Amino acid sequence: MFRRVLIANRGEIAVRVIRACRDLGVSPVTVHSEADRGALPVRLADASVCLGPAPAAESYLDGERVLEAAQSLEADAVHPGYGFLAENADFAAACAARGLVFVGPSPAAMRLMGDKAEARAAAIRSGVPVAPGSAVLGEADEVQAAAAEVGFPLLIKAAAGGGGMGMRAVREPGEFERAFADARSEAEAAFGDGRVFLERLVERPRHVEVQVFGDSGGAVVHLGERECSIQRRNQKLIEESPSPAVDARLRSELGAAAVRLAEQAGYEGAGTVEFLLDPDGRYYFLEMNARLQVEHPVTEALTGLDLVTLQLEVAAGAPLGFSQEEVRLSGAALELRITAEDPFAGFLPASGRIRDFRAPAGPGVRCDSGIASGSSVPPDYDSLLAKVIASGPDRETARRRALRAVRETRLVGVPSTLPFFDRVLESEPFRRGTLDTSFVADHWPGLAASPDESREALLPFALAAAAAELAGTPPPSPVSSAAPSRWRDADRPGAGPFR
Amino acid sequence: MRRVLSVAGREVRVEVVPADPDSAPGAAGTLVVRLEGVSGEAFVQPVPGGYAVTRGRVTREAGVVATPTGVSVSVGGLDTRVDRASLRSRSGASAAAGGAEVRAPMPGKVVRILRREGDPVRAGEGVLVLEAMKMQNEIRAPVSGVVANMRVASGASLGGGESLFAVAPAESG
Repeated sequence: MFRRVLIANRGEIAVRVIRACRDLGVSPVTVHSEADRGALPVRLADASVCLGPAPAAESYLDGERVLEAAQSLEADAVHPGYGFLAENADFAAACAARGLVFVGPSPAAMRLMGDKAEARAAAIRSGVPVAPGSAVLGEADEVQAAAAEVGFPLLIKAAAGGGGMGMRAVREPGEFERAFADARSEAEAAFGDGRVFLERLVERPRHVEVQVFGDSGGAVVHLGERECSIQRRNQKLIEESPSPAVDARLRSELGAAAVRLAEQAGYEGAGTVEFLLDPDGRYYFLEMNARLQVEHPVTEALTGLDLVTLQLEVAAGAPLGFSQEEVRLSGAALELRITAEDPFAGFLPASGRIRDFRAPAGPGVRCDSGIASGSSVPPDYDSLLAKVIASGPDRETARRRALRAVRETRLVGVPSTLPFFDRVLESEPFRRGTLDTSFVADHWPGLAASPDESREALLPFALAAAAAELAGTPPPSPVSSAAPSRWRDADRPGAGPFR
Repeated sequence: MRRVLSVAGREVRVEVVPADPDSAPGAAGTLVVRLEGVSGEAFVQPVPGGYAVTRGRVTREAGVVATPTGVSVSVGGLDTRVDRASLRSRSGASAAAGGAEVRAPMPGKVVRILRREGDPVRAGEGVLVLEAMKMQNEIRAPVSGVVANMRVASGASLGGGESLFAVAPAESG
């Protein structure tokens, strides 16, 4: 095992990896930007080096500075978390060149999966279903023919794509030519690589993904699926396992497909194969994420495994230590992403300071967070603050525990997705499990606008608090018998407030 | 202490007094709040990030964050903005006579003008939207009247404290 691991990340995932290091007896060290000097992971680590100013390009994304920090702190491995440098094959190669172990797949596997056209080709080679589509397209004449063959509606995708850049949905043949030109120039501008290909658009899909794990001896297992259909801006807000739409037979089919693809890629460590599941139960390869996912704790709840310690062990050369037949999935779990966004204002991100934070706890509830009371939320990074994972023997128990956790959590200082979860978890379509990736667009406007008597009843409490805050009243003088009070009539023993 | 608050365009008169310390053991700083039109009183005790508010036998936690015009309060699943309606609470005459000038509460960018010069507006109604810190803030009319002296246009970048517009008394009085 490693002696010291550098965590090249921030927020909740840095805290998560610090915990895994300590559980293995490894010393965790981190890096941070000037905006994160007092952040929770910096305080929890054994040491932390400041990389530079707040913008990610000058701090967390600067691979050279991260490598210098790793060497000055005498780390022997680098855990990238997710985002930032996690899927940067050049960075992974640079780690190896400096004698540092990169906790993740090989640069070759990362490059293969980072190129959407190559990943699609690898899926086809592995016998994994893909949506009808084309190879990378060249000149104009062949393009029209390819579009006609794929059929509408279709997606134009950039091979080097990510985050929706260079992607266009086209519903009518008449819109195609222009969209194709736009997608190409956008991809060229964003990635310096204008290669695009076509894929049939899957309508009203569920997003279902399979967790895979490989070791350096070539063993690969899958750890079941997660459904992540509740998204805004193509980013997930709620993830759960098992998917309400996946039965044992489909699970083993999806799992086997994901394992074949990972084997084809020579995949090591934690990875996720994403699929779109259509309303008829057909599934299509979407992409493979060559890293740990935000929602990995959902799988941890069902398997009892610790995926981050497993990542570190496998990166240190240990075998997985269990076979596919030994993987047991039990119960159900839900993850809620608490982000600093206002769900009533188009999920607009906000920055500021956390005035008070109280994490939920109790049976079946886990909270992974990167914040504490007093933490600042800089405007420079992703808006994720904390994750709540609720689990239980079945989906309904997990749902109730998730709702309990939402109502127990106190987060003051920035708007958050907590009111979104409060309403969605109680909504009829969520309870039924009838989900698809249009869930937020279809249901949230109605849920956000719906008046609710139980909330209306809270208004006097809110007004009283506002009045107290805005009154600017000095602390009460020691004797103020002049103040009229019904406190005494308010009551008999035990019934009064604060007793 | 008496105040007028504004919530969702509605004005609510409130009275805030310190609680009798003899009757509120261990609850230093507790305030008693009476709300116009709401029966009973609320006992409000400061806690980190806000207050514990007790009405009758029920105590709820409220999170409170300052906004340019008042506070944003969250209680349970309810999130609401409560603004000071202080110009109204002043004898009324001075505000009505001279109208009211409204300044930018913080540096930002005007993203939308909701009312044009000459448009009638009621106290609490939005006149323009100012984006600051990636958030859109509706700037509201402090008094009822007519929008006058609109000094900014959509897209303008402003420093904090710059004059935005005024609300003049309506002609009809």
